[in-house]
Amino acid sequence: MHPSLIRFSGIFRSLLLIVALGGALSVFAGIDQQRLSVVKIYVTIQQEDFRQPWQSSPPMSGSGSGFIIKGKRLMTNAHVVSDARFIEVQREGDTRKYPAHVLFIAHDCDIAVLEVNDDSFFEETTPLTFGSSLPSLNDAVIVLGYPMGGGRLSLTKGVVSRIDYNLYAHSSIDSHLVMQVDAAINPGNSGGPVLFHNKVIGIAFQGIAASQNIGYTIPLPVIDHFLKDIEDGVYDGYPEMGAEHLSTENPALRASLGLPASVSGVVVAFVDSFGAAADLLKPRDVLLSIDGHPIANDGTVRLDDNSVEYTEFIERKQCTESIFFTIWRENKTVAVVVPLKRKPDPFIFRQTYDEKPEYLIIGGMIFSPLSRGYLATLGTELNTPTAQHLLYIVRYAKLDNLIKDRSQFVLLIGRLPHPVNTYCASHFNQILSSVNGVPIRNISDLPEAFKKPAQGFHVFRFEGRDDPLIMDAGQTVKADAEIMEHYSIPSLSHILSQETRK
Amino acid sequence: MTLHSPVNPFIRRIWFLTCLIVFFRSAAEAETTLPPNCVVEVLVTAQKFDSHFPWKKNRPESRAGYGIVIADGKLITTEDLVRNAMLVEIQRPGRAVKTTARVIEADPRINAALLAAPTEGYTPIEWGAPVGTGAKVQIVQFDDAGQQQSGEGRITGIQISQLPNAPLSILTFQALTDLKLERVGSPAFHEGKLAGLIMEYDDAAQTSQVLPTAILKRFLDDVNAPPYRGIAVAGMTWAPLVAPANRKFYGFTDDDQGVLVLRTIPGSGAAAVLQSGDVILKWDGYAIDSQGYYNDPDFGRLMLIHQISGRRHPGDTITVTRWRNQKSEEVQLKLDAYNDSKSLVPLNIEGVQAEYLVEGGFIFRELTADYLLAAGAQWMVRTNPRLVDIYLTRAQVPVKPGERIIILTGVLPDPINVGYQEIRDELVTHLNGKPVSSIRDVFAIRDQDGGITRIRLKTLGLDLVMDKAMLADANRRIAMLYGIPKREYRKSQAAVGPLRSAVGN
Repeated sequence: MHPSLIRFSGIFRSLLLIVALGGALSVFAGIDQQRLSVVKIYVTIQQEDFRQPWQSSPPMSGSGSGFIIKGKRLMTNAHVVSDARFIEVQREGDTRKYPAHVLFIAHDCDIAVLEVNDDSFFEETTPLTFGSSLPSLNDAVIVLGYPMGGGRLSLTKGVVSRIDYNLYAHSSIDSHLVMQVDAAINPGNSGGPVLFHNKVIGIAFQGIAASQNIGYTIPLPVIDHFLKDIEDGVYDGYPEMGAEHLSTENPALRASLGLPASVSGVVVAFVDSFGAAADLLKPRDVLLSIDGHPIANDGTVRLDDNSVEYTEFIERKQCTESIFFTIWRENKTVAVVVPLKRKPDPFIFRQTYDEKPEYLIIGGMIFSPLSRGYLATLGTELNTPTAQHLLYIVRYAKLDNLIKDRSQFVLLIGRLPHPVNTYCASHFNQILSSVNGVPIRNISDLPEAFKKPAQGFHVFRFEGRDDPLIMDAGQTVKADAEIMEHYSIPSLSHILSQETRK
Repeated sequence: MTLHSPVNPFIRRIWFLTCLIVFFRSAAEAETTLPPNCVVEVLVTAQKFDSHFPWKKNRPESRAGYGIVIADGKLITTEDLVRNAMLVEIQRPGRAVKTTARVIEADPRINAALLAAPTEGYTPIEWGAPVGTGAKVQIVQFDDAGQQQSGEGRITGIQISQLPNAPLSILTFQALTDLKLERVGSPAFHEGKLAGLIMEYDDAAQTSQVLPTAILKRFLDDVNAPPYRGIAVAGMTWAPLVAPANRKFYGFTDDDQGVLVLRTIPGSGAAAVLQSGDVILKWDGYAIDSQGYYNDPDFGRLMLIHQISGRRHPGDTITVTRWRNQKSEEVQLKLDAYNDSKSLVPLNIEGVQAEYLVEGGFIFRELTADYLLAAGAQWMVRTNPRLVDIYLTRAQVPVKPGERIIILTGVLPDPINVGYQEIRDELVTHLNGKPVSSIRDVFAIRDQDGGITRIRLKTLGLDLVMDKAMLADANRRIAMLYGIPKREYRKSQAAVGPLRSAVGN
């Protein structure tokens, strides 16, 4: 992508030996204190079973890394402690394990803060401090943690290879700044600190399968954003602006927008009704500047001698702040203030953790809302037309206006075989449109709909299908009691109230 | 493998002897049951159009299969062998003297093709009567030296199944075969008479898919009574009506009869006499069971679909017994010809060149199934999910007759289209501010306005705009730079409609 970057690392390789020999002593000598603040985290997790949502998957144990920060807290990755049932932490050189619990967890940026129940854990430790700015490319950094292949603390060394936006795999949808290093980062390293001049400037968190010397770390700005967010005692998350833009590089497009040659910017092409910009920006608005910084025709902004995407400014803000745009609208320059917020958005389909999936069982038929967690269980079934339709919905629900008045897409996810549903082994993974004539906007609509059987039948209709599923309403109640017994189902439904769901 | 592994010499001798015995026996049998001299090798050079750059052709491919002489100067083979053929040649197995053949008719919906070629020295086959499950067949192929190999097969199933190279289903035989079949078009004989042509062979299951003579004869009858009409369709979708609760809900007693009409295609024969929620009790005199099967006089229990497409011709009127409003009544249903061009997303199995327009570097065409399938085995995940979804969920249901999906396959970079060059596989809704729902609309707007300069993609709240003053120059430049011989391909009105195969020379 950047040829200069490749050349740079080439020069570095020839210098590596000298740096390693000359620097080795000082690096090891300097981190003795930091070393003691890097802890191993033992977790027992139990993920939700999206196929059988009344129960969880079998417990699994795993381990990760973390480090002590000020205030007798530990920082680690969200993915290390997501769905955790039991967490223990252990210091380097100490045989004792101390129970810990999650204080803050940020799934959108993969950071968590833990508290240890017993304060004596922190005796004789010094919290790690954060650096004040990111290192530059080619700066040597060290990664500490407890990766696979041994029990004791491991140290790997590398350089910063790239700083760019990238996907955070934990939530499957969020992209933030990522610092790529060429130090070896392996399973178990997750949550460990990346040090530069003995200060934390990143957290090791993910890699690429089948790659070499590519380790991804969460850089300082993302950590800072998280720390600022939790200052009020609650993690709100990154604000979502919800505006898609096109470049205005094409002169004819600029002319059609009446844009003077003297200004630059990007043109809004789509506004998400769940984003902060809803009702404030509209298609054809040209974003000329953000917080006083002019936006170039390709959407970049000059910042500290670098070109960055204008969205970088939004990244740095908290939900309570605002963005100031100058826009070009109907041949005039207009100032628009977008108060940033994070609206409840059921159609963002972020991967969820620590939340029981909603479901409802009637006559052995299992209904549950479409979620990323559920899609992930489909495996090879993803190559079927029905599953492809669900993938289309996940990506295009908002863009193609598939939502209508829904707040969930309720699916038939399975069947617990019983004589009552012998002939109902079809319509799986299809979207429920109505039950007994009642439109299904979310799973909460189901219990109400079952109160109104049509001539003694429950009639389930699905999107895009003309043949309904029909069950004898009278038989379902008795059957469900038997089904609960046979299949060990503690409850026939788990439905959140509208408020909790938000 | 076994041939090269070290074997005890004694065992090897036994094996060798056994082999000889089998060889002599089967050769002896072959002499009495296999018709002589009716199989020719068919060599095909085929070339498809590139779907993303529809003015281009892919690299030619070579195929080889067999054809069967059915009459003086006439051969039959499978359609997928001669699909997109640029040149069809025949030769006597193992010989190198080739003669050019011509495709008279080829129908991808039933995978049958009729070729014209000189056939001196060959003996036309005799047609066999329909064979049933369990019947033995002899299957013939040739080695490189032209030696005939014959194997025995047993019909293990007769059912409606999907064609190997088309997303359509027809009546097919499955035969368990003791000969590893190398090519399509190998004949299967039953008591010396043709029982079918091999369409596909599964090495692991040693099973071949056979195109039965019933289909081939029907195809030939159709070709011999021009114009060729193709397979018949009723224009509806239906579902089994097995579940007792569903039967009760539709007001049925407990007998095991009838399937549910789901949807009728507007303007079709079915739409005239059937509607969603009707139950079909009898079709053309045959009782239909609740799963959609009937008892075929020739082939036993078969799916209703064969009744529609396999036994009747387009234009035939049949009697259907429907159940509506708690009573049964007989209605007359006129079958239509299958017409791919009526679909919102046509299949275009034939791979006919797509109509297209390249304007300011924007490549416009209609969405077809072959466009999506060209992405290979992973096509579902490789293309824009929006386009895939339209094909998978509503390919056959245009909102209005003639409606199609217009797509932008990509943009050929040029100064006129800076800022838009990354866009591909998007759905086009408006051009120059006017809605488009077929490539005809695209041409009409271009002709009327003297060029296309405003493009609206689905979901985007503004047009992509190009400079009209630059358009003529840009079009010339793009055509020259990217080697586009014609910036548009537009079928003449007469050629639109049922597709004729006109290949070979």
